[in-house]
Amino acid sequence: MKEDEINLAASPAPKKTYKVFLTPSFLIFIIIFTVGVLILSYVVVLKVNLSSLAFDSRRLQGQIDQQEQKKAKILIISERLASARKILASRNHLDLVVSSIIQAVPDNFSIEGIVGNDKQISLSISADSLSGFVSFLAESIPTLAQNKALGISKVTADSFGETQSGYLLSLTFTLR
Amino acid sequence: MDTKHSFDITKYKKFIVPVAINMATVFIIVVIILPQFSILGDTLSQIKTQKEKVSDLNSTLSTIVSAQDLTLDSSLTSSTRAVPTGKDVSLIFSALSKAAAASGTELGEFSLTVGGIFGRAAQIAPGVGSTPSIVVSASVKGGDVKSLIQFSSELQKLLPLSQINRLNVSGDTASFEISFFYKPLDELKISKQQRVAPLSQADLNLLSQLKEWEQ
Repeated sequence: MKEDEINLAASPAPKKTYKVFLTPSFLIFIIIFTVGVLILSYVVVLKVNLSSLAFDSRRLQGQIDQQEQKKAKILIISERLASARKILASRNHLDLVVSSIIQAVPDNFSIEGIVGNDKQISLSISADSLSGFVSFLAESIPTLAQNKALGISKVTADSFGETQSGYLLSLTFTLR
Repeated sequence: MDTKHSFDITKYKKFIVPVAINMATVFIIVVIILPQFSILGDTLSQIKTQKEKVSDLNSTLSTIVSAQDLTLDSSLTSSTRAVPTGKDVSLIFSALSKAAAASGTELGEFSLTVGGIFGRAAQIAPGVGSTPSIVVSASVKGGDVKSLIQFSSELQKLLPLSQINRLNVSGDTASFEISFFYKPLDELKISKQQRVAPLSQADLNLLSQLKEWEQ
């Protein structure tokens, strides 16, 4: 062979290239195959788990269905209690406010009339002498108004006058 | 020329195995592994839902099993007496009579507007807290002003639950406008409800209060 000729057929390169391709390809295949098997196994395990949960769910539902009446009773009780709680939380306390106002009226006064709703309460009281009015207006009324539970926002003296039997005072309690 | 060509094929035959292996690898990735991620996601999500469902069902079953029939019946009576499912005039009359007896007064005339009995007309405008009510006008006689006011206080401690809307006390007579609450039972909603939670301590306290007012 001359010096300037190249013998391609005798080159050892293909054998080396073949080995270079085969080994990593095989290794990658093994890794991917193992990963695939692992993932498939995991999916199978999960599916079995899901199927078991579905079975449990059906079994429990069946047991609950057998006690449908008891379940309905509990649900009705819960629903009624929720309604009752809502009513108790939002209903007015007109009776409480009126009772508190009446209790504040001195014993020697007579209550001529009370008219009330959830917005305001009008009270008419009378007495033989003027003596009790001062302490009632100066002490009892402010104490009532300061009681936040009663929700009194304003107290107005509508009229005060002398009648044949004594003195008559009309008050209006405005509620929040 | 033929010899040369045959030589080339022999040379590339050696690469068939690694190429086939690579193709199998790609096949495993594309056809087997990648779709599993989507299946995995769906399955995990389904498992989570099922676990929650089983947990709810377990809790429901436990609540149902632990509830005693006698207590349940008594609680049902008290709670439906507090908020009746319909316009029960006899319960209202009973409450008014009891309040009058407890306050030492006498129940005079009373009237109520029953309104619709069945169908859309039966859906009366809601009262307090979106709960429908039946409005009753009652007159009470006897005793003094304090007794007449006590009538309204006594009524607040009786069932069905009520609210005094207006009062007018003059001398030994008083007139009251009272709302008695009721709420129709939504049977469809109840039958659809899957989860049954046990009564909370607040529920038990309220139930105890209602039982006290039921006496």
